[in-house]
Amino acid sequence: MADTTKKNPLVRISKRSDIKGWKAMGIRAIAFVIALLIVGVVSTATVGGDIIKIYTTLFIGNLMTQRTVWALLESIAFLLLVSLAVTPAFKMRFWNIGAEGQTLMGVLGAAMIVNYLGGKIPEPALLLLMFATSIIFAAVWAVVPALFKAYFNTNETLFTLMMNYVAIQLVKFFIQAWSGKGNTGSKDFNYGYLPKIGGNEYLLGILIVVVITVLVTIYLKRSKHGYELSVVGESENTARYIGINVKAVIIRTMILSGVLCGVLGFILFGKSANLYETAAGGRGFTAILVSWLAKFNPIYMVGTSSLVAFLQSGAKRAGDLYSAGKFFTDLTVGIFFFCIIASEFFINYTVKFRKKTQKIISEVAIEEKVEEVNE
Amino acid sequence: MFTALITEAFRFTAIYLFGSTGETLTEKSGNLNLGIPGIMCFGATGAVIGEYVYELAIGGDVSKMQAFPAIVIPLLFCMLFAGALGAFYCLLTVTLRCNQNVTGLTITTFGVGVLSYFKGVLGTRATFAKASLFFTDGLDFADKLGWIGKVFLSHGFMIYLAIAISLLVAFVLKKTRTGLSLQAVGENPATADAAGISVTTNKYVATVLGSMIAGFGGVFYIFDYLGGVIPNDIEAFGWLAIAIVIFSVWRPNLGILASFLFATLYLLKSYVAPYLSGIEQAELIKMIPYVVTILVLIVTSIVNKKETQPPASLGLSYFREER
Amino acid sequence: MNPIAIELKGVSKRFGEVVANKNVNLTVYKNEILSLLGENGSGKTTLMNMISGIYFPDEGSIEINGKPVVIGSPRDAHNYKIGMIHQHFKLVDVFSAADNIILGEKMPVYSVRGEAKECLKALPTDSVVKEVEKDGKTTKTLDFNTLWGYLKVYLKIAALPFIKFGKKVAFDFLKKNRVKELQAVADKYGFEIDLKKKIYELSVSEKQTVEIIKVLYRGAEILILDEPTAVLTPQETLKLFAVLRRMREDGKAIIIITHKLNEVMAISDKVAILRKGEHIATVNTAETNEKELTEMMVGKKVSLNIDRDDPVNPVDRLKVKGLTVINHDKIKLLDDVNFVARSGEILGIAGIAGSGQRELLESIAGLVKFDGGDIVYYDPQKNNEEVDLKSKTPVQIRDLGVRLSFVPEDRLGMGLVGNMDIVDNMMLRSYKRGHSLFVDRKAPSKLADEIVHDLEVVTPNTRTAVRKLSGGNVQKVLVGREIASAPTVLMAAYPVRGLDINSSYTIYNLLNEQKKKGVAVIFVGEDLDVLIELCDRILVLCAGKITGIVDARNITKEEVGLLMTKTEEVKEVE
Repeated sequence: MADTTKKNPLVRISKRSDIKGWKAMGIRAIAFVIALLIVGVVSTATVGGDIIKIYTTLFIGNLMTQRTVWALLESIAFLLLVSLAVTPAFKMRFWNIGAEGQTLMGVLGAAMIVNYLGGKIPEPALLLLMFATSIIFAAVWAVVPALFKAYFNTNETLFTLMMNYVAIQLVKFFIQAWSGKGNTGSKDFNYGYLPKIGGNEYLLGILIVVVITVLVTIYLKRSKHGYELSVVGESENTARYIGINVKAVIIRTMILSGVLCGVLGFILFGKSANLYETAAGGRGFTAILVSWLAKFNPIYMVGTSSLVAFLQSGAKRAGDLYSAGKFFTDLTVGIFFFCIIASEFFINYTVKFRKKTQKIISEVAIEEKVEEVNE
Repeated sequence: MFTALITEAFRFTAIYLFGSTGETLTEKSGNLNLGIPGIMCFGATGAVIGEYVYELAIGGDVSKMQAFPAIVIPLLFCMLFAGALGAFYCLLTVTLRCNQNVTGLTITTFGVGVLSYFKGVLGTRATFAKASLFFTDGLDFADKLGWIGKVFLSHGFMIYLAIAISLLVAFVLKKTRTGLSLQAVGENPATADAAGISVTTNKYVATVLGSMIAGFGGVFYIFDYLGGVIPNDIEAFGWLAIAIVIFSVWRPNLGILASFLFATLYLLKSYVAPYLSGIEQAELIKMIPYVVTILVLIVTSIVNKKETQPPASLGLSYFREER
Repeated sequence: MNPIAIELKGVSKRFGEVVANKNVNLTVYKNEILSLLGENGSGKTTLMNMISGIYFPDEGSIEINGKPVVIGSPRDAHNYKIGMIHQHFKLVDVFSAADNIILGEKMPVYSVRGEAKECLKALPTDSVVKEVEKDGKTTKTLDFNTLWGYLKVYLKIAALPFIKFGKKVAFDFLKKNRVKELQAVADKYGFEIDLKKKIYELSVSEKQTVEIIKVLYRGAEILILDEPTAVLTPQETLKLFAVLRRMREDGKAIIIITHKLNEVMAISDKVAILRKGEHIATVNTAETNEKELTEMMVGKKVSLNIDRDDPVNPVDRLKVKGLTVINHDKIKLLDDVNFVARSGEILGIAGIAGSGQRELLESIAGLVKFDGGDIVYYDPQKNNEEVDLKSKTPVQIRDLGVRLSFVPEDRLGMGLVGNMDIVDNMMLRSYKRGHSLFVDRKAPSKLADEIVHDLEVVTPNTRTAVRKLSGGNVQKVLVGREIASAPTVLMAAYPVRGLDINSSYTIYNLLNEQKKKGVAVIFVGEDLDVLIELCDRILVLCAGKITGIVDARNITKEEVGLLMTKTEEVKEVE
């Protein structure tokens, strides 16, 4: 119950019902600028470099050569794909933080086919089988937590988190098993490369993601399945009222998540024909942020994944400038994330300072009255 | 061989136990802090900075190092760093009501990045190795007590500190009003609020203290287990600590046994390696903790006994006007 | 005459335009149980919330023990020894009952400053320096006894902060025998409860007992119970009453909010009647009867001028036989309910909130599995062939060709999705049609346009999220959609709750239109005037049972009111 009179808190936080688009973008822009300033301070403190140089590298480092632009586009595409994979589940309020493991299982699936069948069957058949296995492996990894969530209400956040590490160990196991004796961190194969379109190693992957983006957008916005999962996410009671089978929707949606991760796993493997435990590259976790920032809207997600991938790779280049290593990327991206996360608060809530007591009382009272009526 | 395994596992229990006790305390307040791996890294960063500060204070002369400051300064710095990041997590999730998963994962990225930066800056130092000797200094009479003494008493103080803290946390949760209030906040914040318990204060205090405890895990790993070398794999232990929280069904005293089990499993691979037909089996052994954790998660949810469930409001922000 | 415990003088409370309480004067005495009687929305709960510090009155004053007080927060209420037991319990599921009772308990005040002042009183009055006469000379010597006296006091004061800390630590420990101690208190009052048990192991009535013990444990002298019997079985109600009587003997003032007249007669010493926010009268229970109370509660008949035509060719459309629904606490929410809904007729369902209305409608709609009985539908398209609706899901019911529409009570939580726009909400019912994988938004969009136009929904456009619409417009969207599927049975739960006059009449007209089309309309309402003027027949539910199915054209408000409150006699146990 709201503690109303007399001793009103100095600051009162209340939920905004609505915010104008430009205002929200403005708040985000301010957060972005603040993040930039912090990054500037931190980078001078850590790598001691020239701020201007770091800023310029951060922004245009990615755009220097054709190759870097392609690489950037590719990393955007990959991040976007995982984000698209987790989004249907998030829309349903199913907190799948296991996209990392699901993607890795996709990589493993492809590797498995190549290991046993590479060179023994024609390349197109091999690729097809790889694709199918990737999808199946990843989907299985996604559907197991979903089944338990649907039937026993097992906590999906913790379950999917643990599945990530099982997947990593499984990959390590197979790396060792297939490499024979000797401790090694990766296993190279000679088969299973993705074909290059017009000699461009990036294009095929990017095209696949473009197609999937369109398909997922249509699925979420236009298909019956997409409609059902938004109803389940918004209100299970309404889903019950119109006769949606909630269990089926959860399971179906997580299979879709898995399939999309599997596709990325296939592409990731096909790029280098190499199996290593960090093949998913943390995208499964970053995607959660990308998807959340985009309000689970696939179109916005193109923007948020671009921003995040751009920052990641820009920060990496800026770090490389001073041979600062991976930490600089983590640090920079972490700072940006913090600022953007915090800015969401100011978009969703308003902060009011103490006003006349009487007015605040009546506001709260009306809110409570409305709730009473609704009950 | 068995004794050697148990001895080492008992000592290695500390990293898991600090992490899981800290996370349990945090989760009891309803905060699912997925930033704990990052906080362990950040606490460890604080500790190495602290040790470095001590090194500067004595002019880098290893021979001047004394046990008390060499131990206490890093621990205090660790508490400061880990506590600050824990408070930051609360600022974002409790005060600013951001999504806990998103915030936690970002904190992990950040913490891991900071430690790897300082690994590059500070590198290997003689002072760290010397400090490590203070950390690992065990009881003199331990060896005289036969195998029990060797297995359980021959270690540095950190493992005993870990056990003491986890028993203390277990005691506070079970036997005091403070613990009762904290759990009420994690289970049903609206009820706690109505009973005059401050939800915000409890969440902040539990998370900050939990972060400090977890940070000790990082300190143990660097200064006790690794002999003063800055590692880059603390994150993995952080995730395992979260697994132990589930495995021990949110009870820090069970966490001691669970941590010991996880430590044994982690070390097992190097002990059984000679008996394995291939090196790959070792990876399967390392998988066991995660699989067992999943099984515990499944079984507890199927049995659906209230006592073994996660705190009811775990992962949710509390906003009083939203009922 | 008992002393006055609390007195309200001219208390008023407004919520925006709505007046919840108007100039209420109410006196509650110690050693007395006062029933607060009134229909839904008569302002009972608002009034009690002002006593318990949740709301603050706009006008008027409150006096406790004859002194005016300001109750600005639940904590203030607690300090004035006021305890309220809400309908929704505030308990932690995994804690034992005993731990819930002591949860949040504050340490008894221990003021270091105050204690220090006490200690200073013990300071010796003599001077430390003593003049001793010896041999005619006065010599000054130190008197060690007095000095020690001074020292003792100052040492004690110096120790006070530590004592306080020690007390704090000692208080923080949960005593091992805390359950036993509390159990002794509970047994003394005659509560039949095992305080060792966890809350989730307790029945609803036991949970309520825990809430009552909690309030007593905090030392409450004025107890307010908000519809405490709504969730109880008759036997449990008797036990509760026994407890309340014992508390009355103990000198407590008790206010009990209830609708059930027989309970009012059984338990209370006085009855205060509220109607439309105003205090009508306070009467001694012994000097009144149920009929008089009902008349005061419902007031005079107000004419609303709602149109009502006679039903044309009514035929049986839906038959409910022996319907029984039991919840997990083994309480019968519906008990052997039998009735028939006919085409071209509006069947009203009257009853106090929570008498089983929701379960009845949800059983018919296939949302609730029922524990006994049958529901049969007569299909007009198949020559009124019987269709069994027992244990069918909503989808199965739809697939059987049963055109059943349902306007649920919870509009934005069940009937509509608040964050979706009008068009998407239109699709809730129709999106599954056809074999296409994709949803068709053309037809729903057209339907949305029609509804917005025909029902005069005030909205910027049909792509606006429904949660942004006002209550009346939300309801128009929901009812419009449910009617659009050309139902043969239309169920509407509280369709005009919270709506202004104009919107309410729009809804009445819509229901009447459906009636003319031959639809069997089931209307769950709370305003008796509306039920009597709109419906053809009225079914009255009371505690899950039908207490009467009456002809709305020949019944008075009081008669319906009596049926609504007619539970079995509460028999005295003592």
